[in-house]
Amino acid sequence: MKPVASVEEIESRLRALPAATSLTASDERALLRLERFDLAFAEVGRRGARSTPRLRFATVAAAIVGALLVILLVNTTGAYFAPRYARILADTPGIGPISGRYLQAVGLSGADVTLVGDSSTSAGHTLKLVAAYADGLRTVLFVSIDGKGLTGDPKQFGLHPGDWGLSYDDVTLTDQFGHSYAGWGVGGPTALQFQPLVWPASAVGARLTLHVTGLWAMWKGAALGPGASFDPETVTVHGDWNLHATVVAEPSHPIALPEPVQSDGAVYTFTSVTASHATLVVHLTISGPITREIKSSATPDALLGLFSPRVFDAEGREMQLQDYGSEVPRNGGPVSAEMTAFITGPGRYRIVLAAALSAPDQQRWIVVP
Amino acid sequence: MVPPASVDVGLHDRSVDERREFEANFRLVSRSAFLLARQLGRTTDQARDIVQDAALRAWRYRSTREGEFRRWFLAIVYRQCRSRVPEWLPLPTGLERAAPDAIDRSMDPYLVAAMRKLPSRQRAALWLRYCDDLAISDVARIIGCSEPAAKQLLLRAREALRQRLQASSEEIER
Repeated sequence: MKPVASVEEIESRLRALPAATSLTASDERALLRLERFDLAFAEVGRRGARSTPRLRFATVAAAIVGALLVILLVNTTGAYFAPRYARILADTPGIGPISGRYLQAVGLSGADVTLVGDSSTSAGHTLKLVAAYADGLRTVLFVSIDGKGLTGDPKQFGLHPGDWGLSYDDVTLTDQFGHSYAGWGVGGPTALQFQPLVWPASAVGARLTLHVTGLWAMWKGAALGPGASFDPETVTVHGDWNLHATVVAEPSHPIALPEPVQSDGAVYTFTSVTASHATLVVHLTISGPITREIKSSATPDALLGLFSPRVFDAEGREMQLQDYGSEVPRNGGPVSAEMTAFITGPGRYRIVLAAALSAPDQQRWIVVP
Repeated sequence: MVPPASVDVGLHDRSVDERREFEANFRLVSRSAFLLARQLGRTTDQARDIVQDAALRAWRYRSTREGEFRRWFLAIVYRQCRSRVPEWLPLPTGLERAAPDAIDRSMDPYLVAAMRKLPSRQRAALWLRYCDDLAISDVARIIGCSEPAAKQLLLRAREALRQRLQASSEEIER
């Protein structure tokens, strides 16, 4: 029997590990993309949109021609840049060819979405932008590929030949003012979520263009089985698809801030609560002795104990959370936390911030108008 | 309606410099951050998402940074890996694959296999200390524990690794 490895030997082997290994092709590609990561692009949704050269040209042109022409030009420009003004919205609500389970996965119902129906064919595949939804907190697009991907059970989609999907790596979304929107929150192979519309598209309505450059053969990935690592290029078909939708953002409202929640050693203070009829976003800070302990010694599990929110409607039905998280600053300030929940419309909602905060006086009610 | 005028040029220049400095720091640590996420069991795509998300959070909270960028950023990535699972639409069962090992071609496959069996906290500590060559104080800050606790964690991790290597060695002999 071989002697037991010494600690020194183990340390030596661990130190040699980085030099003795090589990454998979997909890991190397991911690293390459990280090296090219552009903070400005990733952060784009947080800044206001600026007018494009095209819009500036229209404005200048309008100023130098006669009055009648100005009116026509403004109207023409308005029809393109301000769909709400031009009353040319595709605003027929309905489920259409999208199953309830796909809609539920992104916290929407059939009544929420706008049917679109624009299609584009390339590389032998037809993509159809079936429906869209936007509010002040997110933008959602539903795309079928060769007529598949939005009906039935999402769990079954992707297992069979011909089940193609989309990846955020291969799509870009822009509005008529040239503003780009990054992927955002929950997303999937045919139901894509993006950042919320920004001004001016958020005010006048957005003419969105979804540019797709690749499709993912999902069933080929599935066939490799659990645990398999594969090169995405081997399951991707490249092409050039442009899909268009006209959507108007549903309004979102700031909600009156609930009273702070007190617990043993922590105070939860709401800093902003914003809701549309389908989305609820809550920001808060957590301060007090418990947070000081967490900063000095606790684990991420303790952070989860501090903030693991749940949201219920007035009937006690639990709402679906998209995500939540907390951030511990090292400078002694309070912990900041945020969560996004999918809600089912106007009404009263109950927020429970952590499992240990379920006493009636620690729960908070909000009213979504 | 006209968009509000941008901030004055001086502020803009300072902001650009700050961003460039941030991005330069990020590029120096992005590989380590990605490998840490992979060591903690994330898939390639998840690891990339986590590191990008961590970059956005780091930028947003940059004023709170104390000390070296690398340690601060890796701590954010570690917390993201442990506390936030990216939620996606339900994929077919066949596509919910386990995270493949980040280091699939290695000259020391037994060590890699033994590491995979360790709890993620121990695995992260070993990776940061020996593969990323960080000081114990840095490991402690990243994982969120005191230095003595980090030493204990590393001690237990090394011992667990030693036992697993011994077990696999005996298995091979049989």
